[in-house]
Amino acid sequence: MFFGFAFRTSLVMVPILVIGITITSVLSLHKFSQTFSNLINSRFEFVTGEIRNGIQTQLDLGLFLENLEITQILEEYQISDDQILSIEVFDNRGVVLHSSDSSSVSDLVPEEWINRWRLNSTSSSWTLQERNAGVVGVSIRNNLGQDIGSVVLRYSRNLLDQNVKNEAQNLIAFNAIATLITILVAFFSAMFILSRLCNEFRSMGKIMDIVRTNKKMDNEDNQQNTDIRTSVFHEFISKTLSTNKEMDLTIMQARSLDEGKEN
Amino acid sequence: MRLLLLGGAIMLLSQIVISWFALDRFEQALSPQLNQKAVAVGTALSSQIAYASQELGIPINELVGVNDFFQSAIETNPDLQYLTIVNHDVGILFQHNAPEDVIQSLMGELKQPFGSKGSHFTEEIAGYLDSRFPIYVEDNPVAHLHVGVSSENVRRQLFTIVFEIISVILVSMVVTIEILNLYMSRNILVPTGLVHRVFESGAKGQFTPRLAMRARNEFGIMVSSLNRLLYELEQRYQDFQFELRELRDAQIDPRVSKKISSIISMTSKRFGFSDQFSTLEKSATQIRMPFFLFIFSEEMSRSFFPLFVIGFIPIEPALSYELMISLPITLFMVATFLATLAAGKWTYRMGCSRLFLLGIVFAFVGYFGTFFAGSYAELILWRCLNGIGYGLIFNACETWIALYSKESNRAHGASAYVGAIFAGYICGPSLGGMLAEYLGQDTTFLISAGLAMISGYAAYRLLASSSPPGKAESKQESSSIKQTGFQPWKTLFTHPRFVGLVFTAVATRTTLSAFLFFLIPLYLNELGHSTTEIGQMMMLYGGIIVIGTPGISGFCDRIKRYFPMTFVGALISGIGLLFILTSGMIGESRAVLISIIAVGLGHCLILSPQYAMMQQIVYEHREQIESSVSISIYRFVDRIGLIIGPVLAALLIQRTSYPNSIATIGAIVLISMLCSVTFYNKQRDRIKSALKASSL
Repeated sequence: MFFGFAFRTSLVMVPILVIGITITSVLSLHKFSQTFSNLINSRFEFVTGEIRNGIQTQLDLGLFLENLEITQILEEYQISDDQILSIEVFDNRGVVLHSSDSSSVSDLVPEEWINRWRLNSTSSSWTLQERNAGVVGVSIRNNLGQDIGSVVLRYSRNLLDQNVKNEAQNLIAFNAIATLITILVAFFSAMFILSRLCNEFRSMGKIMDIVRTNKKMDNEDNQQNTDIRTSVFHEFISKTLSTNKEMDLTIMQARSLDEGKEN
Repeated sequence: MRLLLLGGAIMLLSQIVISWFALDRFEQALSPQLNQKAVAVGTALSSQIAYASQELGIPINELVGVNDFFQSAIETNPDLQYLTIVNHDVGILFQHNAPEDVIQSLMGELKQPFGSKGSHFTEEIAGYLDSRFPIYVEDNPVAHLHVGVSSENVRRQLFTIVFEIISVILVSMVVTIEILNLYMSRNILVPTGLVHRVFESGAKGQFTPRLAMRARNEFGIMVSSLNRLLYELEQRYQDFQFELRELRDAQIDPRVSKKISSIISMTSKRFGFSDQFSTLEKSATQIRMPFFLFIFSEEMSRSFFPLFVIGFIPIEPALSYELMISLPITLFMVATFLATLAAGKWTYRMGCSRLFLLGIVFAFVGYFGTFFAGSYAELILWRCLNGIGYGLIFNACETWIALYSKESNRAHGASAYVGAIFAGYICGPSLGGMLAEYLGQDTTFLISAGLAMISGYAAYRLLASSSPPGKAESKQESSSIKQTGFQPWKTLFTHPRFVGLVFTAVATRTTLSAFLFFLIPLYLNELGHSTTEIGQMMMLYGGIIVIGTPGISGFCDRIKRYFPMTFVGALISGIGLLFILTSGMIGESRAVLISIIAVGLGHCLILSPQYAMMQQIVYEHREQIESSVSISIYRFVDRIGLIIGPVLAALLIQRTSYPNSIATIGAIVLISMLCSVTFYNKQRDRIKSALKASSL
């Protein structure tokens, strides 16, 4: 019985352990990606904050947001960091007023940006992850304390994706070896534990078959069987044997009465 | 059990090794990024200083307010340690927050070479990662700006990842152990438990139970031998009885016939055989896996649901943005609340398994609809269907546990329920958040729908053929007439122990919703903790419950003292909340952490015994009230705590500080506990006087 109870049960542990290790690996990678992304966001929050401060200084001087001359500054910031894809300034209707990419001026920003900006008006910044780019935004306030727009910086996710890919490759290689070792250890340990249990089941079956066919068995043999550590089984067999014996005695007693040997 | 422990231990060990390796790799990859911000800040500040000096014509050493400027820069960027401007001839011109040993080192190395304009150079100085940026005025280098990042800060950032990894291990372990537990229970623990019970009955002389099992392995063969032995024994007994009757009937002598008759009646009493084979009943813990899968599916959207709602809010919302976000969540709760009320009757008519499946249908349609939702109104509709499913399933589970728990292991049965909830709470948000990021938030609802289907399938396989409680009970108690309308409410609320239980339950729920779900995120956010840190601190509560509940429930079943356990639990929880008042001495974050741990420990002691007590009351009133109706009344009242919690917390923080609000909730918990004790003692007095009266 090679593919017996112990083998099958131990085999089931393999996919369960693989699931566990896979979840750990995927979640670890996800956490790495989150932390990496947070670090990048923190850097670009500073950059957008600097741009916003410059804009608010000009607003304090009485200039209007749409009339500011900041395109060159936006372009300089973009050139200074090759991760930055674009920097845009939009108003409260979502219209792009200034951009490091002049072709996007007067376009409407995605609705999600506006929602995110409105919702986070009280916080220092807001972030968003798009398919190919990360977005960091800060709110612009005029000197009356009103939110009149936002500075938004889009950065490439290439660095992040590349780092995650590298880490994923490293983790896959290491975890494959770790998984193999884990599976082997778990499988053979489970086989060891279960084979003892199976031996116990086999011995129990044998004893019960003997009791069934012979209806007799030395009670000491039953108690001394070291394979079986379940004490209640011994009690069960003892009770079965004594029940058989009692039935034998009772029937003998009834027969004696019938034959008139006993009064 | 040893196999389960072995699986858990090997899993934990492998997780630690894998995570250790991952952590080491991540440290190497993240360290350069930590310095990038210092570079961004240095570049911006050096160009601003150069601008001030060059464009305004002020020599760099005569600039005014630079230290204040540095101070505000460091305050807005707390991950930076210091800022200094060093001139080759004069030394340090301006600085903020630079430690003495850094100043000494900078003074010792004044003649550092200037790099080209816009360049920077990073090195470690006195344990700090120092980046220096040349400041050029009219193309002449005049000074260096030094930006310092503490290595401690780098380590702190990496330490955060250690916590992240620990939470990952916890999630992974919970999922693995739940699957392993299901497999072991279904294939090893339950069958061997049943065999054990057959042996136990046999050892007492009862040979009637049989095991219906077909398996071609060692265990199946042993079970066949057992069944054959029992069958042979049964046959032997029948032959034995037949022979005795034959002997008696063949007698002419009435004396002998009478003697044999007495032997027949004696043997019938002595041997435990009967004409009917007894069946082995279902276990309360069978519901754990389907319930865990359902909670898992529901909790998947927990971490991003408010953000998901934002996408549906129209440009010109009818209510404020915050209210528009909270409305689907509130209406979900209302739908759950109403479904709980209706579920009592439905459970009675349909049975737990069918009600569970009905709940799954509602949940599945809700998730599927949420995936396709095109407007805010549609989103609300689908979430309300989810809420109905949630309410029905909770009621089905509680009724199942009440029906299939035995007097000897009520807390153990309840721990399956509590454990499944908190295991779902731990795993769902983590995996859901990750899936939402990679597959999209809407797709996660589709996965939830799939999980709900699997949960329904598991319920169908594990719980099927359970007859409705109404039918099951009516077989046994056809003579009793059950109360309807408001009568069950009246009966339960005149039962002092039920009232006492309600006090504890409402206080527990209020603590959960007011303290953990409402005040903790706000307070920790005010203390400057990130959402990840807040999530980890909150996860600690769930972790304590999941790890502690099985042990506590086993202990409760052994000592059979449910009420004292809830008393101790409430005491720990209440004092833990009052502990927040020591935040001035031990630090605010530390005090919050201790309060969370105390509440976790307290609830760990309360939850299982509380459900066990509820089941006792349900059992005591089964003659007058349907079990499902009693449970739905309890659940209805219990949910009031969830609803009043946030309102109470909001009112408190309007009037007082966060620590005082938390402490007030602690005081409420302790007062509720005193009320509970009063009612519990009233019940005891009533029983004592009833016993006295009956003895007279």
